[in-house]
Amino acid sequence: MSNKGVFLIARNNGHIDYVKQAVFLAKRIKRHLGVPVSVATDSVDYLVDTFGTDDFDKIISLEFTNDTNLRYFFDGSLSKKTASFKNSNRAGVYDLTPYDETIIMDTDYVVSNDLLKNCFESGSDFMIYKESDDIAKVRNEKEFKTISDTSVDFYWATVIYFRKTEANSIFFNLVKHIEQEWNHYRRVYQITSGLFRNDFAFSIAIHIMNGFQPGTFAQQLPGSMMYTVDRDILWNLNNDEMTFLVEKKNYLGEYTALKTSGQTIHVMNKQSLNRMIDQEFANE
Amino acid sequence: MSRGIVVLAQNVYNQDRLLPKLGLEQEFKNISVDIWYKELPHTIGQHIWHDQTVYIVTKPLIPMEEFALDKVKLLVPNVKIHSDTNPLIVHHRGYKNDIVLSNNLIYRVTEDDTTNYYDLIQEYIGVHVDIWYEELRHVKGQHVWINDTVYKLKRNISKDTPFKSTFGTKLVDTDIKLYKDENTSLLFENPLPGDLVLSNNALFTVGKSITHNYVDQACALAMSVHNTNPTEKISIVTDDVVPVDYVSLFDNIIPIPFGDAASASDWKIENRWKLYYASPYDETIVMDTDMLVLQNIETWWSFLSNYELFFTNKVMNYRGDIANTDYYRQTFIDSNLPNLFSGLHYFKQCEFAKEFYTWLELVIVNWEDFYNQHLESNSRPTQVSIDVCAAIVAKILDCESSITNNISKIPSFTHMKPYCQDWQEVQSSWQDKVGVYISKDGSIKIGNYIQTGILHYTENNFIKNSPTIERYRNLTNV
Repeated sequence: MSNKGVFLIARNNGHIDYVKQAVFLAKRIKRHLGVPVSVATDSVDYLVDTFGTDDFDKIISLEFTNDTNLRYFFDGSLSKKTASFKNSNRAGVYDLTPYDETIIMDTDYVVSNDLLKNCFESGSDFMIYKESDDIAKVRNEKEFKTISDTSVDFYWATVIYFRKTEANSIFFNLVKHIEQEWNHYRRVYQITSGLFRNDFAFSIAIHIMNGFQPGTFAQQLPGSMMYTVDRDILWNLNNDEMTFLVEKKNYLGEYTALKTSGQTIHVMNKQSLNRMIDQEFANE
Repeated sequence: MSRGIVVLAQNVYNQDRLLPKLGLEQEFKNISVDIWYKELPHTIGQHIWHDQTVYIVTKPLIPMEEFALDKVKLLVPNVKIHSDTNPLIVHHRGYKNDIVLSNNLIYRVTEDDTTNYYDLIQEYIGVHVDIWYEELRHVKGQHVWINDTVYKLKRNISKDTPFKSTFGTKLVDTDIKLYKDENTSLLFENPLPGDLVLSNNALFTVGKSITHNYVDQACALAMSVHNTNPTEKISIVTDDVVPVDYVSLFDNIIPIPFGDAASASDWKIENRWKLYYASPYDETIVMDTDMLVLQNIETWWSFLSNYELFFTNKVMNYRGDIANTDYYRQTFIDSNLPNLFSGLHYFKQCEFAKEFYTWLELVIVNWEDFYNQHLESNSRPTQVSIDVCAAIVAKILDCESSITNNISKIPSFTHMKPYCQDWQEVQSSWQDKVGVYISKDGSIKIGNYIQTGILHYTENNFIKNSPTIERYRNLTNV
């Protein structure tokens, strides 16, 4: 019988505490999905000293690097920080994971239901979200439909399920290659920004695995990827209920309150997520 | 049961005079010169062109009077007409240092253009025509050109004899314009397509240059069919000449039945209904010329055999998604027409298909009446469209469900009209937005997508801009 679990990567950048998010998410995964969680981090000492090891099945040490992949991290419409975006190593998960069946997950993916358990029961070898929904429902979602105006379909690297198969081994090696040759691939796929994004690299690799045509290499994960962008604010978190302040369309700095219950959501405003985590940890 | 693909191909020809691209430097700036017309009045001070000369009017010129040299003053002699809004007046060929009138302004020619803009088709082969020179001796039986006419001399004419029309018989009644001669001091005309010209002592008809070469497109289509469907038959319906190299591509070359009803039209819709009668096959797939078949379509035939008549009602964009065609099909939406695409359709020789095509003829011939009756005025097209006409017929016969399939994604085609591509920023030509790559095996990649099925490239310059023909010629040994 194959072993299965969730794999997280947590690499802090001086502004965002991804390790803390990983601990927070591991607890929720255990509660909702009931599978072990492993983490790969370049801050093992910080993790062990601050949070302990109870929440993790395995802790894998990554070499610390100072990445130059800089981007803005918004905290609502009116506040932003520039920080490094340590998003490399995603493709390395294929070799790092201790599981035969793995769900890779971003640490800002707030699991609030057991929908993803169905991955392990499916017959698919590789699943990822293509369909997605901005909970605000007032913004142009085109940027998450294709990776550029003329290019290929957009897939979210936020959550990926895979089995260890030969095809998936080729796929993850391909993602590594695309990352290494990013400046070439971003031009071939008409991406104007030089910022490396896993979403883009995985989307390109899926397109190639499909033979440069629409294809079936990647299956849709259960449900749809719900997300809020970093111009929204996570205002309250109470177990599986979340309250967001969602940016109003065409009204900079004004928000509409929106509440979700039992809905797994990708919270891109990492700073507001960390504030909620701090509150939750303080109450434990 | 015989089966095959039928394509209707009618080239569009340029009927207009083609102007050489001369280097021009304006002279006599601020002077606008009008052509003198006998029927018009001309006022004092007006600059006018008459008989290769520019004059200024000194006394009023009255309509219907002959040109009067005592009412004008010569301004510039030896002025040729390079360009004018009236295509019926004589246009000349200009050479370096000539003075020319171009759209009412006077220029000096600074640079020649020796490009051969017209295809010349030789007439009266074997007839050698000399220019008449009064100072030369001419002999009986000689063909001579003078005053836009060619005569065959009935007797010998001694030198220094002024020409008389009784010296010979006219070879042909129409004007023959002087186009080229080794004596470059003569006045040469820039003719119109269809004119008869004398060029270096031989007679030619000025060919109409092809504006849109739909026959070449049909040949590319045939090559693509043979590349992916080696045993498939394809026939072309055309009154144009199929290039000799490409004749073998076609199972049949069929003249357009019942005469050409689209001779004056650019879109060539008017003959489409005739394909039912022209097809030599029991089962026919009709395709537009601007299509390429990029995969084997054997399974499509199996699917289509379930129908008597079939139209695709959904098309794809280059990414393989079902295309949103609303931008181009507002009249279909507003008038609740079935969303038929006749660029790819199928029929069996049967009573139902015959009835459909009989109606299609009626609708195409009387399209304005049918449009007024069936289409909402706010989005009613102003020109005949085969898709709209077919949809009107389907509505009249109430047969949409029996000639389309809402579930199946095949047969269909990739429609490359720019607004079908789900782009945020749309350009007028899809070729300006995404790259096209054609491999040696004939597979075509648009943007990042390898194309399958049928590619409807829609833009006539696609074949010219891409190495499609060259690739297919290598693949099909044509």
